[in-house]
Amino acid sequence: MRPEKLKSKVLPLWTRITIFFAVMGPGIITANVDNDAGGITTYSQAGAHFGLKTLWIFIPMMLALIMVQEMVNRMGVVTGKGLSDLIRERFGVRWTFYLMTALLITNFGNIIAEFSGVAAAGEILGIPRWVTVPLAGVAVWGLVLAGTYAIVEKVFLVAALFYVAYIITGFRVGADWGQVGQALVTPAFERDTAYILMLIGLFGTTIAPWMQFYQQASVAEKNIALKDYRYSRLDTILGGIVVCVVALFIVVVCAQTLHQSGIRIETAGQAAQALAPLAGRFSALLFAFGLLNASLFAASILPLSTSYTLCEGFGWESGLDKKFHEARQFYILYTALIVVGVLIVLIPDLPLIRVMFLSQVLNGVILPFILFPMLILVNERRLMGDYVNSLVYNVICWALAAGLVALSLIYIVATFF
Amino acid sequence: MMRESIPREEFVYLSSIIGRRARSRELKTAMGTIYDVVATAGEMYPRLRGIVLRHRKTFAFYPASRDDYMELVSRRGLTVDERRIEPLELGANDISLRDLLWDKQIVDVEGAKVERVNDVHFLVGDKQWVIHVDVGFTGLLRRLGWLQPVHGLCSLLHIPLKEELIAWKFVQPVSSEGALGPVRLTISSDYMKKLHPGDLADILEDLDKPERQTMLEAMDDETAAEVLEETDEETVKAIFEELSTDRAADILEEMEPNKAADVLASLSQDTSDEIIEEIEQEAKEDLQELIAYEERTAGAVMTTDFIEIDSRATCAEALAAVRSAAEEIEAYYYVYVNDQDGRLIGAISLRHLLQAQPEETLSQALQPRLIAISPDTPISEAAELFRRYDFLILPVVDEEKRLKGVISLKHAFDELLPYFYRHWKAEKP
Repeated sequence: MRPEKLKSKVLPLWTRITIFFAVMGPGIITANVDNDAGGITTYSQAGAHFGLKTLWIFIPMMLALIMVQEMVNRMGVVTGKGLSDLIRERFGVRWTFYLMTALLITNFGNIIAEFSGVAAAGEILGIPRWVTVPLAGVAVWGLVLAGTYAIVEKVFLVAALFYVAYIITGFRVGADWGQVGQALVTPAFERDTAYILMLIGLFGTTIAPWMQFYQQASVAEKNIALKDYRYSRLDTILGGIVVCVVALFIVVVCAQTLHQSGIRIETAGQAAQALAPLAGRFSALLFAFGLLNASLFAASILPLSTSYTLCEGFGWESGLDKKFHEARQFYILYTALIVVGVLIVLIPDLPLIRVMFLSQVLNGVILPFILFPMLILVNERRLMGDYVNSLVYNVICWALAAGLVALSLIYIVATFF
Repeated sequence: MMRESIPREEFVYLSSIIGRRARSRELKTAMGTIYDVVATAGEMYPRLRGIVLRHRKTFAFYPASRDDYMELVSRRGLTVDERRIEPLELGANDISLRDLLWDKQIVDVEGAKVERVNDVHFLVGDKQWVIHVDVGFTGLLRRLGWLQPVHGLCSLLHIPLKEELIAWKFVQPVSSEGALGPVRLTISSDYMKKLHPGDLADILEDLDKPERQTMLEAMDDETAAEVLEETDEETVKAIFEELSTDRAADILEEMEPNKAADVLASLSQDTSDEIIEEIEQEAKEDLQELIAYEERTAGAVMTTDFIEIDSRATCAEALAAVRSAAEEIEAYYYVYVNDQDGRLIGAISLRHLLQAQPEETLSQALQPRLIAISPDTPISEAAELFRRYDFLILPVVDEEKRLKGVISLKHAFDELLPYFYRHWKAEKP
């Protein structure tokens, strides 16, 4: 049953477009959830604190993101299994347990970040967080459990079009595009812990560990046929490009306004507020709206995805079509992630931003531990047949994983010495 | 005489064997680790044949005895008599437990659900048997090496820690491939056959893609057809996209024609064309016709399996025809009667047929009232007729009054239900 490469037939354009629309989803959705509260905060900080000096990392980061997501996407289509399934079957319980624990911690960090994002967006609009956050928690929990998730997902996807807001804002603040272009291709490196931390954070937020589990599971769930793989790959590539373009614009907006005025921000919310006098009230509102949409979208996907992944790894029943007594662990985990997440955000004087940013750094630190087993799996012929990685692909991916480990180590060393 | 005090039979878990180190008895050198345990299926329980030793990338077979297993449990290692090491060869009935069960999905036939195996439970005596698989939380803890501390804690807090073992006879393995080569799935428990197709369909939906495919391979065409009729559309589509064309065609021939047509319509044009090519001529024409009908019309939900008899036949002949058709055709409770030109002129129920005089001809016995619809009648109208007249079945005819198919309440229930529901809602005060 080894999958062999299929010869591709040339189909009429219209047929191909139809197939693409049937197959697309997992890549684009994952990408849009990727620009979540933690993401927007990290990109805003990168722009505000370092100007255009982090831009050079965006092209390699985009390539890395596309390659990593393409691998899990391929594994999902070829093996029809989720990543935690494969890890469990190949590496056994012990490894699965450690990885799942790490994933639970970083995903929980992300969930807190999403609710912080809701709080921040609400506060820009003048609504206190003890109103918005519990409301968001109840809404997310209820909507998903009521089985309206598919509809909710479509609403968010349409709302994700508002990411264009960031691009419009970018043009409204009138960036110097020549300078931006140059910054994109000129590597700059600073031996400053804050800068290294920012690089790890950028990688961590853009290529977050939950994304691999989520995308592979949704691809497997969607039962995409091997012969339609090309379309699924296109979905992944488009998703990767969208994330990075939006992220780039956030950095540029913040660099052009906040950095140049010497304003230091801690939150995306502050970024939106600081934007008001510099770029106009409208830009600030757009920024806030984008943050709210992103936070809610991610908050409705992350707890669900985390519960699915963990239950799959440990072999517990999971799924919204199961009743509570059939899938106890699944429902308890799902509910706990939301309730505890909301409660933590409501702790008075909690340094939300610190928590948010650190959750993104944690993503970056944990990522290599997901990448290594992934690379082993994707190269196993008995699973992947002819769909194993090519040599070039492997070299780049191992280098990426090694690079991330190096970056994390440099950071740890730089913090202590 | 020490032996007397040691019980002859003991329960051993696979987790206390795998990964342990082996040492040579004579040379005292390391002989690698224990990679797997091989069992031979065939008897009531699979009997352990021995242990697979792994040294770097080479595998060897060691026919372990009761004492060897006991040593593995008590000393956490194995002393190997090198002269007994053999090359690893797996016979047709041999199963490598690690590849087949360890961390893999299985079907719990008794509970009709899919489970993931945490551990495998052996009874070790003079002969050794696989008797249970462990799918519970305690198995997970044992694998992590935390069973003792957690157990202590739980008994302190009076929280019961229950084992979840599934007896071997209820275990249907579905793993498809392992490190020692493809897994053979010859062991099909009789309990599997006792499952209702609806339960099997739920199981198929819960399994991962490769396991789903293996399980389907293990079913005969007829069972597969029955199960797939009950499986959700998405899963069925995915299964057919992966099946070989001839197997797909064989299964479709066994399915209700209208369900088969639904399956074909859901597949991509290429795949469905290839499969249709393989289908027998007669079934093929029916199917192609069914596929051509618009969605939500009578033509799309009707089936072409019905009993049609010339009006000149006697009731006795008709009864004989029903008897012989009953195996294949589910809508056996109505006989449709046509005239010399093949036009539908009436129907007669099985009940009336049984009550009629055997020598009476059908034209004399048939019920004169006949309601038939055309293939492009919307389902909503058909539903209205079913509701108003309490029909079990409704004939579908073309412009020339030739019988094209029948809609039976049983098979079209899912399609009709929304209209019944709408009506019921509207009626409610």
